Amino acid sequence: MKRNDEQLDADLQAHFQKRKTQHSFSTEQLAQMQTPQVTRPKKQRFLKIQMASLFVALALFGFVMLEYNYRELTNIYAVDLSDYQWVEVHELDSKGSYVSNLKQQKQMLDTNYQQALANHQARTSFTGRLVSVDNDWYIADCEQNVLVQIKQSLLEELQKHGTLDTHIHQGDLLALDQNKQGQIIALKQLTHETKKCAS
Amino acid sequence: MLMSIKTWLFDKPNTDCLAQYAKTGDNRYLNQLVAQYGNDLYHYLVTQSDKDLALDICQQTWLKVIDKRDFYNEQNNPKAWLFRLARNLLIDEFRKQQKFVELEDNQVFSEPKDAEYHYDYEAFDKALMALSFVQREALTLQQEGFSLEDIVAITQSNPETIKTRLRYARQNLKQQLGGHHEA
Repeated sequence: MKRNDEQLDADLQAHFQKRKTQHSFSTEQLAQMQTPQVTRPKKQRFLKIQMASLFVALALFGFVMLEYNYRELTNIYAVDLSDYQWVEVHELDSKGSYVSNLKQQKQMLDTNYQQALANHQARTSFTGRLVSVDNDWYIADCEQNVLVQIKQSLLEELQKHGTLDTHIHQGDLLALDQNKQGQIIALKQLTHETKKCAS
Repeated sequence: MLMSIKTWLFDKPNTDCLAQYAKTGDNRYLNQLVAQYGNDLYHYLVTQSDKDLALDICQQTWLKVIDKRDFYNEQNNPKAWLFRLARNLLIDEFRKQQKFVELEDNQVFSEPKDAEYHYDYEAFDKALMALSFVQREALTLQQEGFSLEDIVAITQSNPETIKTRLRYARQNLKQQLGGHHEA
């Protein structure tokens, strides 16, 4: 039986078709092939969501921490005179005389003045925290009801007499010594061991 | 304005799923592609390698389509683009496995068999698989329905080389199957 190119073409085609049916995917295999392409982008999307959530959580955490620190700072160093029942002012006047007076809140003035004056004169020493510094120093006592304002003139005088510690910073706990007239005669930084206000 | 109305009225809807997928990234188009060309691709790969490798390269090809979809430009024959992608992956895999593939081959069998010829699937298959990689490839792609230009694009060869491969492939098949295929 003699065959020509046309016959070879026919045989090739028949063989190709038969071979293709023998080597082809089943419906299930094709479905499996399609599955990874469907799921893979979803995984990437899930990863993106995870990353975005992580960044949001970090940003939120950072914001909360900053806010917390800022509040701590303002709690220690901001001075609002209305927070205190009375304010003692100590200074040397132009003639070099020691002057101290009480600035009491109006609403408290009538009822507490006499008692405050008595306390002021009776105290010989107390502890407080240096809460603010401008030209003057503001020292809040441990019970947070007296604010002592020490003017620049007195600070200079204490420095001359060596009764003012040199390395005092805002936020430090201080011991204030007073004489019998209630005049402040020394300001000392409290040591680390005693850096707590007695409750 | 007029152009857009003309386009809207007269342009044929885009039937290139690959272009649609490249444009939108919608997995429905990708699944259509797999359904449309998955078997053809697998058959080509299994003819050029073995079942396991063909399956592996098939999966790699679809993953490559996902990764490289931005690089696809709409063209006349997206199937040829897919086959080219798969062929490159297959050859890369051969190189990794250090399998020798002769890509420039003019092999001709010199001793024709003299037995009487009648078509037998097993014998034909054996003769086909005895052909060199590139001759078998040219013949398979031709049977797959690709034009000479497509085969040139898929194999990144020139037309004369493809014609030569096809001629030698047929000649070798005849010689393998017996002398009765003479013209």
